[in-house]
Amino acid sequence: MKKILPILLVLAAMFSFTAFSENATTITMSTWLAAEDGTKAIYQEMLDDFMKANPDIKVEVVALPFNQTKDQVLLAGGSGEAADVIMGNSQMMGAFNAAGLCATLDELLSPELIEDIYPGYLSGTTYDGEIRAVSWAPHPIVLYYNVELFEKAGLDPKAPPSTWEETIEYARKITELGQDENGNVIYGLGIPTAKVTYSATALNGILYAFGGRFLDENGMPAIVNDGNIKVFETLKNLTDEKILPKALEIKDLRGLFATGQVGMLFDSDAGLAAIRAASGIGAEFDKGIDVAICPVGETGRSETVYTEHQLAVYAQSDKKEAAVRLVEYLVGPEAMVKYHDAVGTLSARKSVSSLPEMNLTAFDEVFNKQSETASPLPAANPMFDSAMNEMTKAMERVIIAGEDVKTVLEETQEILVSMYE
Amino acid sequence: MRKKRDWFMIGLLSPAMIMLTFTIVIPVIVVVMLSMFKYSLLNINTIKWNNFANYTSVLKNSLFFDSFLRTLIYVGSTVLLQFAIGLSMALLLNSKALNRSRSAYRTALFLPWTVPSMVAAVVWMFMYQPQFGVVNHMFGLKDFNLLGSTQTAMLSVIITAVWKQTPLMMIMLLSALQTVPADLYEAASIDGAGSFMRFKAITIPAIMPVIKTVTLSSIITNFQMFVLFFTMTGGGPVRATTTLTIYTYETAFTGYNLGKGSAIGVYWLAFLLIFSILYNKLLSTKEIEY
Amino acid sequence: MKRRAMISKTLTHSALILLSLLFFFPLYWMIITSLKPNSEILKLPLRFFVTNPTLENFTRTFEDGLFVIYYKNNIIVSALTTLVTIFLATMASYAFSRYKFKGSGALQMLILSTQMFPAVVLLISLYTMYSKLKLLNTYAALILACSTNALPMSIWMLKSFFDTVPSSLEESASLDGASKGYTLVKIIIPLVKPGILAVGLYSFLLSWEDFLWGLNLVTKIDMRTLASGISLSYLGESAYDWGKAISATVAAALPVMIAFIFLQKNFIAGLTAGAVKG
Repeated sequence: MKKILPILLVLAAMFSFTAFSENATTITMSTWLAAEDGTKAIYQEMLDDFMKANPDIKVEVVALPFNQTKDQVLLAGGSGEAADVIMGNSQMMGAFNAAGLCATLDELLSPELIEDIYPGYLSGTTYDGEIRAVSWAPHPIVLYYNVELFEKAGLDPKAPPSTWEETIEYARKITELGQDENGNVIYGLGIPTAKVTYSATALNGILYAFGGRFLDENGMPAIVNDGNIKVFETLKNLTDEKILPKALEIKDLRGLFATGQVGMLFDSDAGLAAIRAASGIGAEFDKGIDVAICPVGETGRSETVYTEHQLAVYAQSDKKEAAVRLVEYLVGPEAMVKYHDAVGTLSARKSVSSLPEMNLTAFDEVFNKQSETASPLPAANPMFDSAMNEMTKAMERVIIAGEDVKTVLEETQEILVSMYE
Repeated sequence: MRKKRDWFMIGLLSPAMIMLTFTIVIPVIVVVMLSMFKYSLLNINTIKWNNFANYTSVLKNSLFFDSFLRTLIYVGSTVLLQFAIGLSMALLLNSKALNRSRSAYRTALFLPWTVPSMVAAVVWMFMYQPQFGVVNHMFGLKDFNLLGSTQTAMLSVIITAVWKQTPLMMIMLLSALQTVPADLYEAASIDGAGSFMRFKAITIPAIMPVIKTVTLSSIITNFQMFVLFFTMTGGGPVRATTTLTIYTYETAFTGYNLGKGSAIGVYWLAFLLIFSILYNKLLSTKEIEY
Repeated sequence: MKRRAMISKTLTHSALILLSLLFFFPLYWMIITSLKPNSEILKLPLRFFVTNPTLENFTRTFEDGLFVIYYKNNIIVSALTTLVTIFLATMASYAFSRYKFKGSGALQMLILSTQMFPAVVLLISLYTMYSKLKLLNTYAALILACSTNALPMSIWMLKSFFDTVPSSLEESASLDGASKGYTLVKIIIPLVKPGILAVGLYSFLLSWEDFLWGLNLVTKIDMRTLASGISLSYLGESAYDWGKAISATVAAALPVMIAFIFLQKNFIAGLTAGAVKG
């Protein structure tokens, strides 16, 4: 009899467990966080926490590699099989919205949450006047700089450049250091100008700083303007002066910055991990560098753009309520503090990003301060990525092939307009 | 009796035919169909007839012709260089002056072919790196960006292709050279033919069938070259290395326009049709020579 | 006369030494780079010899176990592609060699010319077809695609081997009462073993090379093969981690390289058997 009791208990437990899990709603979430080394563990931890707090919901993960996320979600979405919660970046969301994959969230999200998101970040998830996603992990582009090179060039590392004129002047001084003892060329400034779409994506912040823009009020490309011309000319001159290394993408620049060959680098908080890895000394490298908010240009404010991860709910999902609960949990304080602690992720919410746990280091404070003035990418159109590809080619034509700025912009404008039509 | 024999033959042939139907014949038909419709990855559920707009839009600007021309330049120079270097190496290795050292040279020269093209791409990208790359350092190019300049990007890819593919050409030509009977040369020497004469009159005709086969298969491989361009340059800078393969891939997958991508494919297939007629002619003359 | 021979010998050797250095150097550079730490790789001065080698890059490449998975996938895909190709090519080329039927020549030419069809173009329709048939992310998709690449040339190569086998063999076997299938498997195939070896090597190496199919027909990380794995996992989203990338390429290249060094004779015989017949 004594032996039977535990068995009965186990059976009862099993029975209640199956009964219980039959009641639970199962939702799916597609993301590349589960596919990448840096985020796999913390992502699973956040999900486990969520399921513990919401025993009636079970989350299944669809891990997609970053490079193939866009195609896969579009294919699955077209045949009614996308995940209930869809993660994407700003560029992908434009395509997902064009394909009608994202549910309108205005009514589904709690008003307090909507109120709590920085206006810049909220506008980045609004399409046709409706909220179609929630900003999760914004990555504003800031200015990284190398303390040692500042000192060597006679600059004060405690006073990073605050205007674009100063930035260029400082960069010139650092470039004048020439070569180090082993023959490594020192460049003052790192701005990606070639090869991949990201180069043009990141350029948008600099266009704003010089009073330029990519889109007009109607959301159509309008790239022939004085601000843009000035940016292209400046980049060309900086390259010719060897202040800017020629034709490199951000992946190259991070390596050069990590080995002390670039004085200042425009990059987001997401780049820090890569910089540390390339330096060969990990987080120890942080001691030799500092970050500042982007320099002020024509507009009088620190202009920059951010890339970000967004969470959307699949329009054809029949479990929208459970999906929204997961979204709200993931952007909430409990999950964000953990996420930040693990990989330094920022929050798009005022109340969360002001938490002391989110501002532990001097770097955090700068990132959060930059969030206040960071603009979303003009990425609502599904052809945005292809447009940025053309813009990168335009930069290459000016910087590498030495073509006339105005002609290049005019010709590119024509291609872009036909693309957006 | 005759009928039974046919069944055996059909049984032998059909597995291969069924597979090729599924993987080539049907896909080609699908591509031709797709090319006449507005078909985008952004909206895979609506496919609309668009009155040959894909075909006209391909011809609207010079991108298609430029890519085509670049492909010809790439294929032409890669195959020519490979052949010239491969034949020289084969002749050197076939020289009577070598004894035991032959196999050591052959190993060193052949090894590059054993690495996958992806590996060749990564290794050369690293060697071309402007700041710390060994090529720049050795040739005193300072921080000149070889893969990032419109003048040198194509050449840099060609060098990589030649490095990786020449060994195969070499080994094929070498084994062809080894089949040329030595008494032919002796007879020619007695007749007083110089070494160049002997090369022209004996060697080349004797290995001609092999030359045709290896250069043609190299042309086919390189015409479709994807991995080197995709990995090393992505078709850039500007469009300096955008070949037909990259242009098609970019249009269909990066630009989501499967319809237009298919139209490029159909133009390409039309060209291949013409080319394959010439190819078949070459092959049939080869069979006569055998 | 003797002096001329000496000069020509010296010239031949020096030319070959120079060429060998040129062709071997990138491999040497790749191997020693994989043994240097990133802090040394991304910076001048260049070191042409490794002073204190480290296996750090290899540890980082292998630590998450993904590389081994890519390797395993590639071996599975290449091995099965080889088997499928040998099986299909043997049957088809035997039929072409033995049966003279109307249109046989045209059909052979058609098959041979399919290898010129641009794979990228086929990819457009294969991609949508396979996604509808739920074949994306399967070994079957990759094996089908790679076998299609290898089959045309393999049929052509093997046919010329079958052509050298006199058909009197089948006739006498048939008189002895052996079935056609038995004759093919037990009598004819053993005679074309070198050809089958050549086709096997050819299709294995061709699929070992594959990048396009692996990149596009697979979207799951644990289904990737070597080339797409190196491109997507080690060339990095965020930075060129050259230490990791180069050590991954070394690990990918070394086995075939070593196999070649030890099995050189068979390797070369296999490669040249199709095109060059003594």
